[in-house]
Order: sequence, then structure tokens, then C-alpha cells
Amino acid sequence: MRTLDYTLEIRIPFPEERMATIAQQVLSPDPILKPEDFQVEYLKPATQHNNVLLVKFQSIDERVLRVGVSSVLDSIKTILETMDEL
Amino acid sequence: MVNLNTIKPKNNRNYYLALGLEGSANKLGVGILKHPILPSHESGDNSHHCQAEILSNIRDTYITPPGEGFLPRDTARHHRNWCVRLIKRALEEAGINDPRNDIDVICFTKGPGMGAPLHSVVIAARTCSLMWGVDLVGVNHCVGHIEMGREITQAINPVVLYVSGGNTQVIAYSENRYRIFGETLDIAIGNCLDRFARTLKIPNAPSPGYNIEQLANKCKNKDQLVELPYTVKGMDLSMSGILAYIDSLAKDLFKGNKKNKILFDQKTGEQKVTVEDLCYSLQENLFAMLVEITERAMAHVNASQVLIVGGVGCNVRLQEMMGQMCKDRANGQVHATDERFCIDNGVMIAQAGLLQYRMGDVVKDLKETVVTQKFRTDEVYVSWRE
Amino acid sequence: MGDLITAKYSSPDIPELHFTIDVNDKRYQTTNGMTTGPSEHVLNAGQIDRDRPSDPKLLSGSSSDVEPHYTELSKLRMHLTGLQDDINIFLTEQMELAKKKKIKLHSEEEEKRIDEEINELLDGGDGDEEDEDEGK
Repeated sequence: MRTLDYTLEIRIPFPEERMATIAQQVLSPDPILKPEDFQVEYLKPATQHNNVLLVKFQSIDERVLRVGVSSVLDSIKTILETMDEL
Repeated sequence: MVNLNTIKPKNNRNYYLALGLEGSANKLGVGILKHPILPSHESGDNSHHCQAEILSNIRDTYITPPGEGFLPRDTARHHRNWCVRLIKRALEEAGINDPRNDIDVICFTKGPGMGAPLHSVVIAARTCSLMWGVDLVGVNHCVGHIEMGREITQAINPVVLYVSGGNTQVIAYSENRYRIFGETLDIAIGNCLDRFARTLKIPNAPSPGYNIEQLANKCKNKDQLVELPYTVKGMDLSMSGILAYIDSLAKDLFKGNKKNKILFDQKTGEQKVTVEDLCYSLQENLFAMLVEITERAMAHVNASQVLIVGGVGCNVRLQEMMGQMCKDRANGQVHATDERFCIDNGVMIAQAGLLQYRMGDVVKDLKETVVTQKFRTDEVYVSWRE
Repeated sequence: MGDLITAKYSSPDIPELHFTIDVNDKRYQTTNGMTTGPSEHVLNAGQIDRDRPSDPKLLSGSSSDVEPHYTELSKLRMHLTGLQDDINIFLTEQMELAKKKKIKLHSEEEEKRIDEEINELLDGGDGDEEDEDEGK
């Protein structure tokens, strides 16, 4: 079992708390294909302001990390655009 | 008896409004649909008679250069980058200023289809749902086609032929399920036509199938069909062999392979068969197979009507051949919709979704909104019909 | 200067690396990222890209000719776009470095499996065995 040694943590401050909450709820349902290779957590920890979303990625290497991270960021961009325009 | 008014519209309105979002292949569709609340819907079996009013039907298609198919990741990018703009336009067109109160339900394609494109759309759907506080309903893409076809054509219990780039199924309704009576054993007919279009390197706009149809119409040798394998297998059919064969014919034609007896006169070396002839023969062959398996299903369920749905249903020749069979067989009719509805669109998702919603089907946990590439038509419990 | 997006990376070789946004740098002032264009394959086939992300939203009363003022959410989207480019470019560099050092982290079989998994991630597979030729 390889350890998920390659990690990235992104801290995103939203303009309002409810937006961070919505983003967390929209991103969370989708299952990870191969949890032994890649994992992601969407957190709103008490240690941060309540408008902050923390996204924590763990991966077995840079390649899988890059693909997983970019994909999640694409989704977040859609969420941002939706909240902005609709 | 089915009560389609089980769930009432919001805010004491006397009509339902649904937003429909479709993105299972390369078409991104957003539609807004209105159903008046009708007394005839309290009981009876009237889900094909909703008096549906289409407030907007917007679609943008991801088109690739000639010779290229659409890859899931680029298609997903197209949907991601266009969906908010299309939803905004649809709302404006429908005159909706307060989606929170004006919209009863957001309907989205749960599957089947391409994973990443489906996912692009569901992200927007979930966000709208949470932002506006509006319920979500996941819809089976094929059921969307069927319900739109039923509503537009008013066909009474037809056998449904669902033919598109991703699907080829013969379906008949029985006891709350759309049962699959026959289907492709390998590729969908639209996929077969699209891939042949790529071999021919013809443009993909407006759609490769449309361009094949135009070439077929120009055929001057309709009496001299190019013989192709005929692969009906009982209630089902197979098409990958036909594709492989006609691809090789086309390649020989382009290479000028004079040894090919079918394409070139062996004495004079003259070309006997044109690209138009190939397109015509391919259509005639494939459509004849579809007619056969449809007829078989009609015999099983004693039906006289056929409803053709899905993008390939736009094909006039297919409608003609099917119509002839229906008439000969049972003095019946073929029903089809125009390109607004036979090609993937958001309104059809709204139509099926709204029927589901009105019967009480609604997403209670976002985990239910995970999209799925495989989703068989008969998995859906059709609560809105007797 | 508001609270901005930050990121923190860690790997066996690099214990800690921080990513930050420079709001005055053009790469954080666009919704159209460098690393999120169409795939190489279609570009090589002659695709003209008409599917760029939408423009950022202007605050009402602002015009894009003078000093444009965008909504907070639009700024966030642009910042994220720039950060995404930074991360993609950085990780790609790291992958190249690893290749050059000929550090083999995984066996050939593993590599193949990871390749397939990456394709599934990009194409949105369900994790089932897929033989579909959708659009290919």
C-alpha cells in the first residue's frame, strides 16, 4: 500500500459564509474512483473563518495530483460563476 | 388511476415550471417548461397530454473538426464553460426573474452518457438548487426522449425506437417500465454513422449524420445497392461489422484500389461506386435492420404505432421506411419530432423530470445526484403511467 | 487587499511550498487559463476554440474601458484560474524532473494502471470496465 505522500491544501476565502457552505455541499457527493491513489476532503474547519473552504488533496504522485486538483478547481470555477451570474 | 397532481406547484400557482439541463454527449441543452395544473390529471392515464408550454429551449453543440470525434474532456470543458451562460439566457427568455419562487424543480440528466460532460452539468444543477432552494430531480436521458416524444406527437402507446449517437433500443411500455425489447449488441447506429462520416472526413456541422443523409440523397444509383452485411440477430442487431466493412470500402475508394471489384470495373478500371452511393447503401441497410427489429417488437406487443426518438430520428429516410412498414403491417403510423426535440435538448429532461416530480420523486440527499455512464431505460419506475 | 486564496504543497522531496496570488499580475486577472484550453489533439486537428470561459462579471456602474471593477466572485474566479495554472505548471515541472532523474516511483504495470486511471479521471468514468467508444 503506497502512502499518499504528495499533498496540496488550498484555502479559499469566499465573500460570504453561505457560499463556502454551498461549494462544500456541491463538491462533496462525487465518489473518488481509486481512493488508494487519490483523496480529497472539503472542510470548513473551526480554526478558520466560516467563509473559508479548505480543500485537502492527497496523492501517490504528481501526475495524479495534478489531474485531480485541476478537475476540482474546474468545478469550483463553475460554482463561482453560477453564484455570480444566476 | 394515476394522480399527476400529487405534488402541487409552489406558491399556490396553477402551473408548474421546470428547468431542464442536458449534457450527456456533445449537445448542451437548457430548457424551461410549463405544465398547467389540469383536472384531467387527477386520475386517468394522461401523462402524454400535459399541454406543455415551452418557455425556452436553448442548445449549444460542441463540434469538432472533420475526421475527429468528440473527446469527453473537451466536451466537458465546452459544457462547463457554456452552461451558466445558457441557463442565464434561458431564464431571461422565459421571463423568470425570481427562480427561487418561480421554479418548482431543476431536472438534470443523471445518465446514461459520457461521465465528465454529465458531471460538468450536474455541478451547475446542484449549485442552482442550493442557491435558490429549489428541488432537484435526476432524469434518465432515454426516458427524457420518450416523454418528449409522447407529449409532442400524442402517440398512443407506441413502440419506441430510440436511435442516437449513444443508444439504439426498441422499447415498449409495460407495467410501469419502459422495457427494452431489442437493442444494439455493439455500437449505436448514430455512432456507426458518425464514425463513417469521420472516415469520409465530412464536416461535423450541423451534425455528421445530417451530412451523411444529404450525401445519400444525392445518390444517383439507388437501384444498385452496394451489398453490405445484414446483421439482425433475433430481436437485436449488430453494426460494428458493417462499419468495419464500409470503412474499408471507403478507404479503398480513396486510395484508388482498382483491385476492389465492388468499387472499380475490373476491365476498364472505371469507378462504379461513389461516396454518395456508399452513404445511401449504408442508410438503406441499417434502417432496414431497424425496421425489422421494430416490427418484431410490434408483433410481440400488438402495437400499430411507432415513435422514433433520438438524434437519428431526424432522418427523413428512416421515418419514411418505418412509416411504410407501419402502414403495411397494421395500418399504423410512424411518429417523430423535429430537430428541436429529437436532438438532445433540455426541454425533454424537464418534461420527464416534471412528471417524476409531480408524482413525488425528488432528490433528498445530494449523493443521489452522482451521475452515471450506464443507466438502463428499464431501471426507471414509471410512476406517472398506469 | 482582501483575504486571498493560498495553497500549500508537500512531497517527499519538498517539505513545504507555498502558492500565493499577486493581484497585480495579469495571470490572476483573467478567466481564461493557460493550462485549461482545448486538448492538444483537437488543436492539432485544426480546432478553433470557441469554448473559452465566460468573461468576469462587471460591478453595476462599472465599464470595462476605464478601470474595470469586477464582482468579488469574479475576482475569486480569476485568482483561482491563475492559481490553477501555477499548480499545473509546477506539478508538470516536477514530473519532468522526476523523469530526468530517472526516479522510477512505480513499476511499469503501475504506470499503465495510473495512466488509465488518469484518463478515467479526465473523462469522468464510473470506475466500471468501460469499452464504450462514445465519440471516438
